[in-house]
Amino acid sequence: MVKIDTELTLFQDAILQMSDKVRRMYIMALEVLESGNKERALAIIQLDEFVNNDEEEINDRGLEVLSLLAPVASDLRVIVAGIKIASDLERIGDYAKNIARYVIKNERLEPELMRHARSIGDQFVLLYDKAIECYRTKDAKTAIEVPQLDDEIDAAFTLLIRFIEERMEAGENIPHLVATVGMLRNIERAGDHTKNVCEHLIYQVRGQHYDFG
Amino acid sequence: MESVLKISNLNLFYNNVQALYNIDMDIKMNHVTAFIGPSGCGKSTLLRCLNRMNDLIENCRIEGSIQLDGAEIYDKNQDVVSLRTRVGMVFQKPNPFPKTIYENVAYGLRCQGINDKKILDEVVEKSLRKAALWEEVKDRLGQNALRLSGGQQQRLCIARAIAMEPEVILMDEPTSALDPIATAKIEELIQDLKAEYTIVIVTHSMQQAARISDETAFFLMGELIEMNTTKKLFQLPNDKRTEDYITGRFG
Ligand SMILES: Nc1ncnc2c1ncn2[C@@H]1O[C@H](COP(=O)(O)OP(=O)(O)OP(=O)(O)O)[C@@H](O)[C@H]1O
Ligand SMILES: [Mg+2]
Repeated sequence: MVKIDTELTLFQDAILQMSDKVRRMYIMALEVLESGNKERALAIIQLDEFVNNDEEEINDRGLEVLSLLAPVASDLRVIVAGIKIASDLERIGDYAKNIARYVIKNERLEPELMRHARSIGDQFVLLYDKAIECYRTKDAKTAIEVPQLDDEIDAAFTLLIRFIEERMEAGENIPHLVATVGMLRNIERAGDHTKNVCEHLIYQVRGQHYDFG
Repeated sequence: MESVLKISNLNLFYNNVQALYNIDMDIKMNHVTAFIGPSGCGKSTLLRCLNRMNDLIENCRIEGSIQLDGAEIYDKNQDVVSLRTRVGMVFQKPNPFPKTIYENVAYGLRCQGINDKKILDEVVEKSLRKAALWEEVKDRLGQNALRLSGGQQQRLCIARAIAMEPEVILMDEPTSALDPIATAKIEELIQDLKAEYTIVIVTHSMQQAARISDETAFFLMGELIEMNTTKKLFQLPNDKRTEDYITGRFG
């Protein structure tokens, strides 16, 4: 195998490992929303440190390949797309961290709100897993379809908003509900960044720019 | 975009061994066109066809057509000497004559019978300026050219080609014998020269082709696999073989 192949494989493996950690952050975030376990929430925040560090390492590795091996064409796009994907993953990790912070400051979610959180969260994990699978298998064709799953997150979020509005009209504690919506909006944003991952992967494989909004 | 050289259905044989297959290619005016491809793929052979340097090689047979500004260069009536003034050549190893710097540049004109000192002075200065060598040698034009550095000698050879006021300048790996600084100077010079000349360059450095050319042609075993804008060819080549070659996965 040519040296650049080895380097590109290591580079892509590093991104996949980073994506695993980010995924774990969401699984844990949904858990702690339900349990209110502040120690577990703290563990998410610590995991984010590792994710941030991963991004830096991926950048360094990418720059090293650029400067030492001067990749062109598809090789070059693997590096450029990878650096961007790592940056989106880092943001996605930040959103999970925000949820952990919320849990540290507040109590666990009451069951009805939790049901909504679960529904939004599950949709997100579905989208996320598909996007990462596309990256792992370099499947640009599927990556064009996957972002549509984000509509499901939006739909679940709309249901949440409607539910909250009803509760507010019934005269419930408004600041608390607003904070909950704000917290769950992190998942929706994470969905948007996951769509970016698909865009970058398509660019990597085909050299074409897509914009899924 | 106007093309200066038009190569159509060109086949070339050395002793009945075919070295070029059905080459079709347009070379655009005031552009830098790079030929790339693995050793032995026929880059130099094709380059030499463009000013009939292959005529000097025994047992070299050519079929097809090459037109310079619409006129067939392999036509029986084509005067080869005048063709070579219109299509100049710079080689891999700088090859100045063992004469003074001045006489090297004036050489072509003298061959044409021009000996008027005023004209020669003018052409020598102008050519050396265009070749970005004037400032370095203006005080020692009478010095032997072989005492110049490799990079300076190569620029002198370019000045010698320019003195003939060619339309096209062919360069066969002009920097492969030079250090990075001399190489950078030649590359910069090529960028300046394309305003006035059409340049065709053979290079083994893919980075060099990417840096300095507008169009790149990739050859493999005597075939033109892909010709494209350099931007396109180095970013999204059409042919898998081009991609394999430029990414170093060839063979
Ligand atoms: N004078 C000659 N007589 C016979 N065969 C020749 C002659 N010159 C070149 N060839 C053959 O023609 C083919 C193309 O050679 P050419 O020199 O054009 O390749 P190239 O692409 O310039 O290679 P390189 O990058 O090594 O300079 C090769 O197989 C070579 O052996
Ligand atoms: Mg050659």
